[in-house]
Amino acid sequence: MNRNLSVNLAGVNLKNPIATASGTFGSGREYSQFVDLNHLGAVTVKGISHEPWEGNPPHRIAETHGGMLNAIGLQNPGAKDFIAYELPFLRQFDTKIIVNLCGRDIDDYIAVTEDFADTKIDIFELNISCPNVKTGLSMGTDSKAAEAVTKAVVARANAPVIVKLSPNVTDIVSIAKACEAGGAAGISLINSVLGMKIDIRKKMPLLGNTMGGLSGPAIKPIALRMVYQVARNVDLPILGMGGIMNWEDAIEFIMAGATAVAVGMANFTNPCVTMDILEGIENYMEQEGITDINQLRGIAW
Amino acid sequence: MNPKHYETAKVISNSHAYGVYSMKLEAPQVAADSKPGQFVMVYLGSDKHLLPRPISLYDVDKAAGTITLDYIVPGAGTKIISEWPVGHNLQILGPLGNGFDLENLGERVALVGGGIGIAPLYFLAKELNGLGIKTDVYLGFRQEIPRHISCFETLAQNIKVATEDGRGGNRGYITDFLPRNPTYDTILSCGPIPMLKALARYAHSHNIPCQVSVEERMACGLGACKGCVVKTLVGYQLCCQNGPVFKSDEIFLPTAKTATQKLH
Ligand SMILES: Cc1cc2nc3c(=O)[nH]c(=O)nc-3n(C[C@H](O)[C@H](O)[C@H](O)COP(=O)(O)OP(=O)(O)OC[C@H]3O[C@@H](n4cnc5c(N)ncnc54)[C@H](O)[C@@H]3O)c2cc1C
Ligand SMILES: Cc1cc2nc3c(=O)[nH]c(=O)nc-3n(C[C@H](O)[C@H](O)[C@H](O)COP(=O)(O)O)c2cc1C
Ligand code: FES
Repeated sequence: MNRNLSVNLAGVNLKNPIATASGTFGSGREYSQFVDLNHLGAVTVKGISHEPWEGNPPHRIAETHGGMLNAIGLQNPGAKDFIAYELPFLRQFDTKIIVNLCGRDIDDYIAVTEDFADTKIDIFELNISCPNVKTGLSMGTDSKAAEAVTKAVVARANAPVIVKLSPNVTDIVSIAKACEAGGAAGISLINSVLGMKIDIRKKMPLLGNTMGGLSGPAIKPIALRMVYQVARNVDLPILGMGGIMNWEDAIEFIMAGATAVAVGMANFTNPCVTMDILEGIENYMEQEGITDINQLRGIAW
Repeated sequence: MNPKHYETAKVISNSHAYGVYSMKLEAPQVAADSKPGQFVMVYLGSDKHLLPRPISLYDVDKAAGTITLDYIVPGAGTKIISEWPVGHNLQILGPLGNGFDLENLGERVALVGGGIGIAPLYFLAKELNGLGIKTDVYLGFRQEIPRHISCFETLAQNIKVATEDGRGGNRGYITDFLPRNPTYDTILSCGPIPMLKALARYAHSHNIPCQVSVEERMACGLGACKGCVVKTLVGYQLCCQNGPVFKSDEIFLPTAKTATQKLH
């Protein structure tokens, strides 16, 4: 049977709904010995800013029950370096490129968007939700600020903009609606959940930045609930993520209303996991007699 | 890019002696491409502990297609590893990191190891022996001296062992037993931070190039997550990709911070 796995995310055709989550897959190169990038629907690269960012002091990583905390602080070499050295590598593959944009204030977001003026990117993912930089969260937790930064970036971006939301809010739907009003072509959620860990021998926080973002299966029920809420209330395609470890998890997100899904921490548990997930989805569709993945979207509403 | 493999390995032996575990794995792909100082990620197959554990290559037998890991059990992840029976299949990723730089070592090399930090030094000693480089080995332990340090005997010209409680003869830190007027061309080392700091001072004062292998918490092991940074003269560098071996005069070894003083 001929099955369709392709989906339309923000007007861009992905050959299948499996993407990687920003910050967990580098710029694709790091995993290219283990995953044929041609088989991914999209690669979302690590957050990129206008100027290089140094990131937070170590430790940046802590394992927690069924998940992990990270406090990387968006270490990245800056847009110019990325465009010169990483983008050409990724371009060799037949996959869509999602560039995760970060900034400290609106001007910073505008500057990084303009850095990409002469390059061809498939989708921008506007990261207004990083819990590890001081201003990151404030943009993503305030509707007015979220709308303003979305509008500013959409006006200058040469590709569709999806906005990545933080789960650290009381009303996710109102933030998503603000992004829609700002011209977003899609919503990406969720970013990691603010958390912390204490080293009981040293008697102090384990992470250099004290707090960090929780990801992995520990946050999956929260992520799934938020995808469901936003999908039902906002008329924008969703890139769903948060604790997807296997094909069953991926299908749950699609059934909650996600158009495509992104795999994050699971890449650390198994570098080939994206391919396993893809294969699992294909088998499931065959077992269930489903010819088009799009039939599953929002089926659980 | 150096070849790396995500390989299904099989436990050949996994035993415990004097506080140190030793696990031999059948892992021909990783074995074939390994260099001293490199490490592997060991995947635990646990739903609770999802991050792989970085462990150095203690020994590699390319002909037999095996690798040996020497490890201690400070927490739950290594506890899981220590319970694997012979025949158990596990996933590993490697070889990772750059390992020791073996170019221009000169004629005389000192290897200095502390505690479980001796792990990468055996493979290194074997390699240096093969290159015809004369090595002296200095090993420091808290109390117990692992039995298998005898394996260094055929590889080194001289071996000196010290323990903090004096067991085995020399009492104190191994760095106190380094020669006053060294004739070494290079020092290669792995061990706890205080030892590396003392060694870095020693190497600096005698103007001897020194490479140290350090640890940091890791998630991917591949340079993708930017989680495993160590501070160097040129800013943060990735332990998994730029290290784990660094030049001692280029890395800032962290000072251990604790909040214990608040208790008093
Ligand atoms: C490059 C490298 C090589 C290493 N080689 C060896 C070796 O040959 N033998 C050996 O016994 N140990 C080695 N270690 C240390 C080993 O990785 C840790 O002891 C182990 O990860 C602890 O896991 P756990 O679950 O038992 O402890 P837990 O404290 O429960 O681990 C919790 C988390 O912290 C991380 N973590 C804890 N301690 C360390 C540490 N010292 N370094 C890095 N991550 C840590 C764990 O990986 C895990 O993600 C090496 C570390 C690195 C970075
Ligand atoms: C180490 C690490 C780095 C991350 N870096 C970024 C980033 O640069 N930009 C971003 O928008 N999200 C970043 N994230 C968040 C992930 O993209 C994802 O939203 C989150 O981890 C939830 O998905 P998961 O549970 O599948 O990991 C990072 C997550 C991790 C674990
Ligand atoms: S462990 Fe991910 S970059 Fe080093």
